[in-house]
Amino acid sequence: MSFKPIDAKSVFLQALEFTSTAERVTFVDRACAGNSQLRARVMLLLQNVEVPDSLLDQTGSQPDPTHVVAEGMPAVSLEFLKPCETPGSLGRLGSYTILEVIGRGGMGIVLRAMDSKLNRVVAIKVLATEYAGNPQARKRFLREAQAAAAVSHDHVVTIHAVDDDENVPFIVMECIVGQSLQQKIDATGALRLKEILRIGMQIAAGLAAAHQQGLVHRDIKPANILLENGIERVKITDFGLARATDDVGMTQSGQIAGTPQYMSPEQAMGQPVDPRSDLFSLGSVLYTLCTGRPAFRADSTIAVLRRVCDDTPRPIAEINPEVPDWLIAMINRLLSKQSQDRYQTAQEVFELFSQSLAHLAQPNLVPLPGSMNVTPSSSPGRKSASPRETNAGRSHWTLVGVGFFCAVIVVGIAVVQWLRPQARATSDETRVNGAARLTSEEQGEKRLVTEAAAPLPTRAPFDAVQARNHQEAWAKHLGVPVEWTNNIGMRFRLIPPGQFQMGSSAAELAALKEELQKAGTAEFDLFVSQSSGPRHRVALSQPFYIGQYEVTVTQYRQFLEETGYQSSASRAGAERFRWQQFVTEGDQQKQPICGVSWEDAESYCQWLNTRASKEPSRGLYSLPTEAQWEYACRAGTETLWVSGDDVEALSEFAIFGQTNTFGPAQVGLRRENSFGLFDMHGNVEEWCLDWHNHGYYARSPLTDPLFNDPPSEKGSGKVARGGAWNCKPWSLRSTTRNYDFPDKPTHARGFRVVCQVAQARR
Amino acid sequence: MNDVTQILKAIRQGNSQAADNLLPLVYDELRRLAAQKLAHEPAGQTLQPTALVHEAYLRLVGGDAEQVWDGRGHFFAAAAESMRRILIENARRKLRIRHGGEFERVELAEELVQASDQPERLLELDAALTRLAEEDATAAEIVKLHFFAGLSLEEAGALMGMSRATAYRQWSYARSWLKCAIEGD
Repeated sequence: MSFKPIDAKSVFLQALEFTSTAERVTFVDRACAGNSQLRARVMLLLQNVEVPDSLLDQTGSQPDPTHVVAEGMPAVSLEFLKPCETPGSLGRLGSYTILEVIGRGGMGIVLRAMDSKLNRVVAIKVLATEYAGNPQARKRFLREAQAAAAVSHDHVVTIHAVDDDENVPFIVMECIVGQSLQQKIDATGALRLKEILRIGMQIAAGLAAAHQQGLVHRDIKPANILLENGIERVKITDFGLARATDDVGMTQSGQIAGTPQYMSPEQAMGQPVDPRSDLFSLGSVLYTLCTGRPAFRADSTIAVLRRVCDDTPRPIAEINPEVPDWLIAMINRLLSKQSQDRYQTAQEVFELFSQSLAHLAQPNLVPLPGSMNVTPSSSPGRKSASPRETNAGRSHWTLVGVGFFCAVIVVGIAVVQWLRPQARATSDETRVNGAARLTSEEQGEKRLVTEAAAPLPTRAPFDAVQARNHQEAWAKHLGVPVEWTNNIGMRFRLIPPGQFQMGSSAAELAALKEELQKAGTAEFDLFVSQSSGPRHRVALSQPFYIGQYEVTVTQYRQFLEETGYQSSASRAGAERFRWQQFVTEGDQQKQPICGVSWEDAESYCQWLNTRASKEPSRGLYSLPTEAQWEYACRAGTETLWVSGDDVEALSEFAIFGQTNTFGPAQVGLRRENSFGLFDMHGNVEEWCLDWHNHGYYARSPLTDPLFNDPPSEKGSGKVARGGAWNCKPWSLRSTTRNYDFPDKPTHARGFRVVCQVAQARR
Repeated sequence: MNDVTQILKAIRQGNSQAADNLLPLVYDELRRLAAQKLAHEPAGQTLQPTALVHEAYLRLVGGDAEQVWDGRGHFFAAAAESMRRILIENARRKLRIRHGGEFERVELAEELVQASDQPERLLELDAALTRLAEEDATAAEIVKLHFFAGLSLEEAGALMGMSRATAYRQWSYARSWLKCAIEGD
């Protein structure tokens, strides 16, 4: 009997849809019934899916993304398994049929197996071979597992049995389908407040149950917190097992087993451990949930341990301003170096979280738990000198921005309650990707807070007349001009603080998707087009200046001549990519620079800043954030382009769709928008400060959002907006978020600059 | 308008012979680019095929990108085939040197270290790929675009008009197929 290759392929692909080996084998058997050659071929193909290949896997893509392959797993020795007749199984252990390897925990291997007696799928944890030979480790392994089995709780993985098959000790547990907290964080970064509380509450509950049984987990970390599929119920796993290997690990090699990032100081120092150590680790996990990264990071184990014992982690507020003070205070207390300073029981922590969740749900009815009314000055890492921390400052802000806040609250997100004036690092300059952050921000805000005569921030939608009035009112109030030119001839317009709808509505996205698909648009562009949702109301709390035009060739040239800077393109040797190639005959003072990478643009802003010290009345230069760019581009409109929703009118404002021209047109040839800016739409596409993140809009802060954390997704890049002279209209939309690698210049991309406002008068 | 753009347009208009002219142009450009990059890189640097291919695209098509958008697939197919040839040539040369075939130190200007540390296996892969192409052109094309041209599966899929999921499936199959073939089953 022979078979057609197409049939083998078809069965193979269908079999891949199943996630467990057993199910696949069953399917293949049925599909190839009667044709043993076909079956053999398919089975061979399937087996090769799992096998790593040094050559083919250099491409870096997983063979099959639907099948979970344990990450970073070195070859696992399964020789302890007995042979098994069941096809597709890896072997037998006691009365369990081993189906596949799920993963590798520090000291054990976790397998997925079928309990042949009870006919259910279970997870089996086996002590790794390097420890299995050590009688002490084995005894402890079993003893702790027995104790862990005594914990019966919703939020702890249930232990079914502990057994020993011819000297191979193993633990049988419930098999959780879902992802670990680590995987979730890797995928989405920091979590929302409600989720943080819910997860924290459940972990605390599980810990409380275990502590009651006299157990200390000792290895609480995101990888050991499983989230059950669907409801995302917390299941603490790897319980009590850390103790077995800890001692063994320490005595054998003097090194601490496993990753120490979530350890408590007493654990790190090898001191006796009690339930409060788990609470420290819980605090560490919560820190990670709030910020998307561990609290104590360093290059080596020793360095991490030192930080755990000595250092205060970077203040959460600096990384995620959305996190409320009371939660930060709680986390800080959990992270107290001395265990007597922490909460003393997991039960207490559980109750606090529980009440906070209730408060979040019904803020007017349920107060925050009393013990959490911590004043800001007592939390480490906050500068208490700043006026905004005092109640006076707060009420001034409230007075000024009442209408502002009402509009924002209408959105109905509870987290709005915690919106406060800029909670960013203040007195020291924090360097973000090379661009100095805005210290004059604080001064500007002080002014807004103390002057009762400040105009209201703008609220979109507004027309050209209103826009001009806003600009003039704020200029007068701040004592600065609406328009000014810096010492290299760059002209800026003042943009007042305000709020607007950022992003595209679901209807717009759907319509755009249909339009692009019909036009046969490439997947990347489809992906980009869908990044613009969901629409959400954003507030920009600070006024700023933005370049009236895109940066010109002459202006860029000056930078090169003064500094001898080598652009990304020339460093990479790409001859055609010199920006000079795109300069046409004529007035270079009017041609926008293009063929510059994000890094080039950044370097340009830094250069402006070194020169700016000669102009003390101005603040610092940088690229615009996405939010600043969109706000400036929209200039009070809520349509697809400033010209409206009809593409016909777009050419009044923008240069686009030019397929026969070699490069961009001169700046300022079309109509300015209501803020007095030219070529936001079209001409050259403009780099922004943010990294692109497809899901950012769903979770960004609503005030001054900026996504500047280095991306965890491969293939991400820096945002570029506004479309270019050779682009289709959809690229030019106010909401379109294109992106590209920061070191890559293209002939269609340039940039414009923003400058912070510093008060001219005292 | 440059040569490559003209060719791509011609292909789009149905001129199949034009495709034959495309490959040598693309091949030339890639070899030149690779040599140039290596001349600038510090010793021991590796080059990523994907960067080379994209750069070649921009240099050859550049400002005409909008016009030949539909012809991109042809370009990248040619680029993939070119990269494949460059890598195979390189592997063969390496083997010759290793077996003492050449005594002078040859400037391996096109050496792209990424795949060339296993020249024998690469040659086997190449032969297996030729056989796969006879049996299943789609799967083979995915391999060329993904492995040789360094495009992501998503990009490769897009060029071939298939979804990301489908591209992944084709790659899984092709990968297993090639492994079976190389390991001699």
